[in-house]
Amino acid sequence: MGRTLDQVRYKCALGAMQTVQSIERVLPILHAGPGCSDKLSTGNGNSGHFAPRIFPCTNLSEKEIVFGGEERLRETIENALRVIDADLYVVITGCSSEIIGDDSAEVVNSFRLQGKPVIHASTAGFKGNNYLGYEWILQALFEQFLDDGREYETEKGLVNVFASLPLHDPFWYGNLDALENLLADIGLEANIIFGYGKGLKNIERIPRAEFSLVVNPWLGLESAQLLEQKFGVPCLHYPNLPVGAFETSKFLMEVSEFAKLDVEKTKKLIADKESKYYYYIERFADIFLENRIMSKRFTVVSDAQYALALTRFLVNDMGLFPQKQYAMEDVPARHQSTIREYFKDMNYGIEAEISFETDGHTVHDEIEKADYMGYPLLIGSAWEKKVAVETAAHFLSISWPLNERLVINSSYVGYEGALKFLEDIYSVVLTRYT
Amino acid sequence: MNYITLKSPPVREERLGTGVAFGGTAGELRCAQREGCINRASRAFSQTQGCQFTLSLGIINSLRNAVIIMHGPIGCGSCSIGAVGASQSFKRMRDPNAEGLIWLNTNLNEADVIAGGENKLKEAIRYADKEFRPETICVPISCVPSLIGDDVDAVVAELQAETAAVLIPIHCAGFKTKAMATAYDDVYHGVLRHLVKKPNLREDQRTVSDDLSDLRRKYRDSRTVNLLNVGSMSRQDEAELERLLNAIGLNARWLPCYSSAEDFRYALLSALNVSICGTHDDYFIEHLKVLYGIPYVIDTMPIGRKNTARWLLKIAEHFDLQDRAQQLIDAESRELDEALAQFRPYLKDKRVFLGGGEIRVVATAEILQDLGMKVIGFKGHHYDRFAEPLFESLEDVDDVLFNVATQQPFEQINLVNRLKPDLYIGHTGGGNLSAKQGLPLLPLFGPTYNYMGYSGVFEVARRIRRILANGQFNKKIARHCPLPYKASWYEQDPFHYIKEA
Repeated sequence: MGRTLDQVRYKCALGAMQTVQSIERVLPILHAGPGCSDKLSTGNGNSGHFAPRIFPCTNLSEKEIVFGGEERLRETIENALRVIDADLYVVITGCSSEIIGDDSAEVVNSFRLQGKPVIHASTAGFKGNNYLGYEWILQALFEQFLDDGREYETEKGLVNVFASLPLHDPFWYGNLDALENLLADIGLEANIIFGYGKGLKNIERIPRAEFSLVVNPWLGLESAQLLEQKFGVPCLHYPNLPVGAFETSKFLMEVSEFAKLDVEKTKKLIADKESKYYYYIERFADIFLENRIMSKRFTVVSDAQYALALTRFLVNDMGLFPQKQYAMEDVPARHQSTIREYFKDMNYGIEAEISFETDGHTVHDEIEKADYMGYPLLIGSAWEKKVAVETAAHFLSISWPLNERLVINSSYVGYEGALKFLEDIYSVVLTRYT
Repeated sequence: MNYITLKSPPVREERLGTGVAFGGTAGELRCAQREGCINRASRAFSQTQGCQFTLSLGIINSLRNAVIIMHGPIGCGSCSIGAVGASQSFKRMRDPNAEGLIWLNTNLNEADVIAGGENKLKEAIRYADKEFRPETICVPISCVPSLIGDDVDAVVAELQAETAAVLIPIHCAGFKTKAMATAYDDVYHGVLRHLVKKPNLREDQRTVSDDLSDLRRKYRDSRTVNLLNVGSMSRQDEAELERLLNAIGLNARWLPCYSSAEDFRYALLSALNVSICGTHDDYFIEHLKVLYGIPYVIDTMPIGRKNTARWLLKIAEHFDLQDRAQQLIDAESRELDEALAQFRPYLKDKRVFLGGGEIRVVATAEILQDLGMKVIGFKGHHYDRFAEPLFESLEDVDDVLFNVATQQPFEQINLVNRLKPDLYIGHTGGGNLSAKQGLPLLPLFGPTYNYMGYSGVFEVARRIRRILANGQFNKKIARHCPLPYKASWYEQDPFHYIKEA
């Protein structure tokens, strides 16, 4: 959608510099205007080893606009290789270099021919947002870094995992970590490229995986399908990020069946996990059952991933009712009808309405007019704070822009994650008593 | 100087000969500036910096009763996310009912790059005017509409007749300049062309005025100065400067940050425009002089006691109040000496590197010398003649190294690695890099701290004392988290990549 937007939930495609940044020792080189990185480097925990001020950038000026910026790019790559110590350099292009028609791919190819570890992705801001930019980076890695005619042998039990948008989703790290642990519990090894101790060695293992697991309603799916085409790595698309006992057990069963694991063993594991989970729930059941101020109805204003995951948890585990839900990351039209179906697939035939609206102001107008039959439970971003105050909602901020919380490596995924989610919700709810 | 008939102001490289790449001593730099040759250098390698678009937002995001329409693809202006909370709370220090920051983005996509973005902008302006009823709508124009040739001035001229809000285009495409401070000229250019006009006093008066109240108002205005605040100042800084002016019988009006539209009109009644930072204001106050005959003072920045005294005396001179000002300066200075005594033994001879805005780093160096500390290196975002007056408050800095670089931490890291200072004082955003060199760190500015005037000297001293007393966090992060530069870079001349443009 290309209309004017207020209180938007995403950045432009060049924001995919954060996808590159979240792969250890992989450095983005920007062929872009001087302020692009400054505009896009908001997020949680991005003063990492390659902080945005470290990124080399051609800082395009009038001179390059008039005479072309290819020489400037060549010089910048050459010197970046001399000054900054990285394993792989990813040249990403912004609006201005693409409008003036620089052939960045050609410049990058000349380095690759010399055996330098440089690849290229086209990420002009006018072409899409940072969710799409993430896919374009993944595809550039698969096509330019992995697809060099090598033969790869499959490693039994190795699973490529793609889930949340790195550095943009505040919980991206914790989510991947939690998924890695869940897979380990059923005897699979997660191959993740983002975060601590992963990096190039894991990228190189991607074609060796037994299958790829995409845990997101749509993000990453097309990239994983590319792996299937190029390297014959099959893809298991599991749309729902599992939160809570019911959904996590379902997830473990489905993955076990797909990977042809010993299902009885998984059932045993699930029984143990659920038993411990309900030990905690039992101890705090009086809070969940007998406080009279917790909301009955809720709205999630986030991306499709959380809209679906938290709706499923709150309905299927906690017995709440969904008001309208919002997936605001400009979900590509081709995925929307499938995603709508996911919101109809809940217990007792309960269904939720999902909106793909991208304008925050419009969403807030709808929330103000809706009847939540009590205090609304509103799960969103910093943008929802104002409407939360106006509607006296129980408000929990979980998505970008996240201004009033610090999330380091926690997650709402799995059995443990759901308990953390309940802690966070009730830490808001219980403030009504104080 | 009168550029007001142009659509956009000239860039500072041309107007002021501003330079953004230099490595050498402060003495050499000042000499190069005088000879007019510092704008001839650039870099063969550079890291990300800011652009005039992002810096423009520093002022316009603070305007009260305004809606900002970022005209560009969806990433442009995304950095404003971080300013949402601060913008709201600082506006409410002026007006408890002020709205927080409202900004829209015209969200230009591939089709717009081909067809042009003017219609989308029109829609956005109409929507903003109807939905939010602001006093002003600012339209910062990013690279894309500038490259595809959107005529934003024509759009504004067409729509101004139908909107209640005053429309202000800001020509701040990032590619146009590497001297990002041109942003201030862009904003003031828009403000001067569209917002500044004489207030209609007759309309503002509820009752028929009498001669006496007319005279009272005129007298008050003749004793009122416009102080031009900057985004890096705090309310405490403003309170301190206002205290000093009040003490010599002058009143202050604050512009432009956190102002509303009418503040720009009433400012025309004041007797004098006073710059706080030369990098910010020269374009605005020179034009106010040419267009409205208001005199101005642009000289030093009131950080450090010598600079504060000099700043105050320049203002006092205009009103013939030097004696009162001198009395105040003497009294303040005595009090400050007593207050600083407790810190001096801890701070003496400590070696400091300063990085940030060139005016601010040179001004802050005066506090350090006052405290008996040693200034061993500077890094300034850019350099031009407006830093010159500040050197007069410093002693023996001709041989101190001066790196002119907008961000470009690779040069600074190399330099700091050689100089081995005891403390780094720096601009926001680079802290995590300097900390990895194990250095204690004082932010060069902070919108919740006092740096200016006499109380500012005390506050800075107190904070340095605390920061030097426990630098463990930075030492430990340095031990565990190395910087990402190749070992060979530290052997290289820090200014190796500076070349003739």
